[in-house]
Amino acid sequence: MTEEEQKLSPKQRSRRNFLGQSLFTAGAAIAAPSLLNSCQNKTVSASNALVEGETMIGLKINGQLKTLNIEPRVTLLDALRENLGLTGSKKGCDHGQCGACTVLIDGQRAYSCLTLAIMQEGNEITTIEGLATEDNLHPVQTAFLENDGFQCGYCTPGQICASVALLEEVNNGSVSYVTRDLTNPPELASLSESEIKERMSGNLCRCSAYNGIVAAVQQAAGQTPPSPAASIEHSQVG
Amino acid sequence: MNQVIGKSVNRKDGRAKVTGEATYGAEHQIQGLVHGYLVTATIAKGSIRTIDTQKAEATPGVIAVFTHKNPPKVFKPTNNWMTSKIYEARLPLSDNTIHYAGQIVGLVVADTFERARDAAQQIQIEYETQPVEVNAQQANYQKAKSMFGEDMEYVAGEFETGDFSAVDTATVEATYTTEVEIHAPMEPHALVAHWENNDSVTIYEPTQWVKGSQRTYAELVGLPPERVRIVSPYIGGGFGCKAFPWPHGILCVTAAKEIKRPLKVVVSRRQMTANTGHRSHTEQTIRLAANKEGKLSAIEHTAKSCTSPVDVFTEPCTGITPVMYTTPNMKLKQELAVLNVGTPTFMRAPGENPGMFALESAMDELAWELNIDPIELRLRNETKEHQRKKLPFSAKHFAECLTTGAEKFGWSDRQMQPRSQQQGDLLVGWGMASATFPALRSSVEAKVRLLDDGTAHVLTAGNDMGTGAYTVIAMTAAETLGLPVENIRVELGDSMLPNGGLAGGSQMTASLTPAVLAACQSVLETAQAQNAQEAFAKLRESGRAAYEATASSAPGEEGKKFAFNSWGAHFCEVTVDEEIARLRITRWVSVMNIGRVLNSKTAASQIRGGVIMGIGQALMEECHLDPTTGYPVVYDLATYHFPAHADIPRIEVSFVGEPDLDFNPMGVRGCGEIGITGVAAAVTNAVYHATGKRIRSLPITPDKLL
Amino acid sequence: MKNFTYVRANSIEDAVSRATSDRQAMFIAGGTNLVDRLKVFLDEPSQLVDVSRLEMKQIERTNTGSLKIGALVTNTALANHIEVRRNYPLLSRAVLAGASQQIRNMATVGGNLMQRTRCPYYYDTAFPCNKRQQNTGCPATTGMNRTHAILGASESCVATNPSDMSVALAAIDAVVEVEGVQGKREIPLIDFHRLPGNNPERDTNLEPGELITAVILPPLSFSQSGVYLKLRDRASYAFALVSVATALEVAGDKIKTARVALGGVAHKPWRAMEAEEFLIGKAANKSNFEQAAEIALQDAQPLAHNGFKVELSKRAIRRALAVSAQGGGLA
Ligand SMILES: Cc1cc2nc3c(=O)[nH]c(=O)nc-3n(C[C@H](O)[C@H](O)[C@H](O)COP(=O)(O)OP(=O)(O)OC[C@H]3O[C@@H](n4cnc5c(N)ncnc54)[C@H](O)[C@@H]3O)c2cc1C
Ligand code: FES
Ligand code: FES
Repeated sequence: MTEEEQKLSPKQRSRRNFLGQSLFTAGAAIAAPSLLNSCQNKTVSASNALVEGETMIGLKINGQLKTLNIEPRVTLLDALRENLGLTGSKKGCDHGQCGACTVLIDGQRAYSCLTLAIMQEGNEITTIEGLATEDNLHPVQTAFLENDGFQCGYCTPGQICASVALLEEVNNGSVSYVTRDLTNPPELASLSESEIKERMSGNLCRCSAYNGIVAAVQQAAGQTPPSPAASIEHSQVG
Repeated sequence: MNQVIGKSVNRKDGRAKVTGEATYGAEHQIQGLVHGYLVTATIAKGSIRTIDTQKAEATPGVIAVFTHKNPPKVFKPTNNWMTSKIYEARLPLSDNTIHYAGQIVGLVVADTFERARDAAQQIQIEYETQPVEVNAQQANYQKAKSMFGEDMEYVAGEFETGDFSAVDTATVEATYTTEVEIHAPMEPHALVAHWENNDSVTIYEPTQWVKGSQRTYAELVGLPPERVRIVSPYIGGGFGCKAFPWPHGILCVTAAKEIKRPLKVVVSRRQMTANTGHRSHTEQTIRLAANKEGKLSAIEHTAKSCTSPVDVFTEPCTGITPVMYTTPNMKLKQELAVLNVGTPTFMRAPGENPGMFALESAMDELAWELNIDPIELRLRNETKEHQRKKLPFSAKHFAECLTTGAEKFGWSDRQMQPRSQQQGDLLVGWGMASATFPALRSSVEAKVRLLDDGTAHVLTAGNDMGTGAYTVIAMTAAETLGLPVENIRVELGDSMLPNGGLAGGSQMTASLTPAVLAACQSVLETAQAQNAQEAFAKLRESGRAAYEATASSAPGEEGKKFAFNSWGAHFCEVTVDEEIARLRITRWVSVMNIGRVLNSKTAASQIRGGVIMGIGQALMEECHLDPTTGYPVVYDLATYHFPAHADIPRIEVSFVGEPDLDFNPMGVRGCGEIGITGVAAAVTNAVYHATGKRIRSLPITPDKLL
Repeated sequence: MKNFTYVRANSIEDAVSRATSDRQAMFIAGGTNLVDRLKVFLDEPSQLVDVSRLEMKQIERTNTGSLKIGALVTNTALANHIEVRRNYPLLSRAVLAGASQQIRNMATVGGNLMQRTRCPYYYDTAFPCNKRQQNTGCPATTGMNRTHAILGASESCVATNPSDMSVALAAIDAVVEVEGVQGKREIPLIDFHRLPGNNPERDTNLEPGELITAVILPPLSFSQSGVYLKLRDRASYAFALVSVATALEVAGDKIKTARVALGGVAHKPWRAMEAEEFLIGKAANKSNFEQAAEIALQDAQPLAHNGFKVELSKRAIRRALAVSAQGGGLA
């Protein structure tokens, strides 16, 4: 058992294992976030060489090592979009105020616009492009599609990455601002709408597909969400 | 017709959007691309005395700097609604005058985004400043000129000769205000301009009007339209602010020609707040008079809004008044003032939205005054005809929206007394309001191809900014051709395709699907087949690769016989924790009458999107300028709040009514904007029911509930 | 963003010595505040010293019964740590009230303490600002100041501190451990942040080159009563208009100890000591809470647009104390 697992209650541990397996079978494997303690030291050596001007750095993105030549001031988001052609991560605000640029760093969701690419050397970065396999969408992607969790689609990669992380966080027994009893974290099967909404609030959607997104998270959490469709109350024959 | 039409169908463009494959305007990867960063004015009125670009030019990676001293060559466009249209009549960098803070005063081009941004900050400008006019309360209002031909002033009945002599039991007179709101689409304004040989250009830019944008840019660069190509397959939200070129777009396209490199310009979120449109502040006074049964005898509606010094846009709030309730005496007045602000523009239900906030609030006040249920009051005053056009409405089911909504919401349990419903320590309020939006359509074309691989392609230069156009077009074709939706491929957003019209005024679906229907029928005729399968068989027999047909569809004489509007009703529940001024919306029911519903899933999302934007307007959306300098102090998504997940309840959407076949052969009226109308009034009406407090100034931030 | 040189510090000493020898150097940890500021040219460091890989990521119990939080513990890790959830629920709740999950995953305890004001005038170089550049003026005093300070402000600055975490830390009597070239020292949290006075450019009493290494939470026997209430314009992902952290120790029917701290109202997390003192020995009832709230705000000096914060703060205090009196929880 890892140190962080020891800190979980036995109930949380078993839940984590159980759900961890069932949930992500169809999706890409994502490193479990180490929620209760922040990331352990990375393999990248803490070399303290001064970096000036453009430098060659290596980033692990969607399981592949990419090298690029950039100035240290380039954010992870701009490196993805401008240097690596990975435009799935969106720039909505460039200031951590919208969530469109959400990616997973070592399995934890983060805004790629607020971190420098050079700071992420050695970390596992997963973007929207890395969630589906060739044949299968990630279950969260499918849930978004079926529940109409988007309209224009611009916030969508961020919403999906955030949702993927959210499920894993709940699996790991994390709490939110609206969790009534902080010593008793909610479980996926009974995760309430207000919990989902609070936990997803770092992803804005101006098209306001919020109902569909919540439904998609519910579906991915194994719940049965209400239908996203309208009810049609009158004969439409004509 | 009803194999797929009306069903709940997943989006055609869904897979591309959930996998990150959907490529938005400025994301197109082009070899040799360079980056432009805008320099914007930090004063709101005055002129540039000196502008020093030397330091910026010396910054590593800088390729060019444009200011009013060396603006790229641009031609003046016709700028009427028909041939070309730009949002702001003043062309960028045309002189050294500053009309509003955030006005573009320069463009820096460099090899990377970081270097362009850094160099832009190095530009030193000395200004001659003048006192600014940014206070809407103290502005100088004048009678507003019409924007589309119809006089904005109107009088009927006793108002024709003077004032209305109120002898009725009840009158309500009140003033309602809304704050400046911004569209804030999640995709910022951005484009790439790629010139070839100085005589043709491809512009990758999100646009709600592909062909209009093509014609306009063609005029701006002095080329025939066929030498300008617009590529806009996906739009990350528009809501009215991505229909015509803005100054940054003009600058990008013209500068790219001069530097002979593909150029990308992304407007930063901050810059966007000031220089790519907003909904004006509005102030409306409404006077209602009614007898004790609640029959309206007079409606007087005066509206004020503001525009910029460089273009005219009036927020037409009074347009809804003759549409909603019948009365013999009516007076409408619309006034406009000029402020040192960026140019306001169409924003989801321009006019209808603030107009319905005022009218539906006043109706609620009248209902309380007369002690009549607000639904009943509306039913008693429903109008069968458009009172200015004097034409009957076609396929109108407004009353059914009210009654169906009431039943779904459980309205009959409502206590007719403010502060009468409680849930623990919380006050609970129920409110309702009506919704309306005109049905519009325009002349468009679509091409349909049947291919020997068993698929059909639909091609048109329309677009889908999240409205579901890809999907309803595919569904229309699938239905008409007798094919599964999966076998239809839809291509939109490219000016090489037939004219697909404008995604604005909620008209794209109403315009395009009849053309798609006609093109499908026509291609079957060409093939002399009953359905696509027969046509495919003939293709195989004949060895041809494809059948193809193009058809157009346009409004006809129907507008002389009928007035066309969509209708709806919103019902909401709020809770108010009075001690700490915490307001939450806990329940929402919307019932809409929009003619035929093509896709019950995407149509529901459109209505929900409207409702939620309306909730934002009701609860939190407001821009502010510094009173002295006129510079924005609300300028990004942390200072401009619009709803997050946590603000929004489940929104139950239903549709009533039959297809409106008098309007078009598909019977669809469109649903992009109606959802937002009336929303803010439903909320303030519910707040009144909960607390006894009438809020007439939006948004209802916590300070207003103390 | 100006260009800078970047270096990954390999030890606390390395970090401190670099920041001490180069006055234009800055530490970067989670980056969620600094990268944001760099993009709009609020800071133009010559060198970024990346401290994010240093060993300051542990949460451990000390032999005096305190809880020591490493400066690089993320906000998420802090809020979710079982000891924090159990023994300092108001801290857990305050951290969770801030920003969004994505930011909390990246943000560190040290960075959170050092985040700068969200005053829109400070945040845009188009305006003068005494905090950015001394003696240039404060346009907020006469401008739009709905979100600004009502307590402890000065003529030169009316900005507020935006941190939620710090408000709870103030109520807990936390201590900040810092290390400079001279060695380690401890600063009580309530003395860590400063009032603006004539030097609004200084947010804290950290000396140049000093690095925050940990925050120490002393034991709090009545921690279960802790409450953090945040009132804002949007239900989530918004800074506080007003927030309040409270805790009460009640013995018999009398209050033995009270903690009241306010956020969103001043240049620093605001401990309402006089209100706390008033409550000692009083019954935990509505009228005493009302009086405590009055006392807490008696020196408030609202500006043109933020008068409502005075009333809102009082009500928030009343509510939070009432919930604390009932044993704490979600307010
Ligand atoms: C959109 C948005 C919303 C937000 N909402 C909230 C909110 O509601 N409530 C709230 O409390 N916060 C909020 N935040 C702020 C967030 O909490 C801070 O950005 C975060 O805590 C900063 O931590 P960091 O590790 O990322 O700091 P960094 O950005 O890395 O650093 C911030 C500052 O601290 C200095 N620094 C960092 N570590 C140390 C150290 N160990 N010793 C000395 N100096 C150090 C840096 O030099 C820098 O000046 C929000 C931020 C954003 C962008
Ligand atoms: S682009 Fe990163 S949060 Fe908006
Ligand atoms: S789908 Fe358009 S912003 Fe979310």
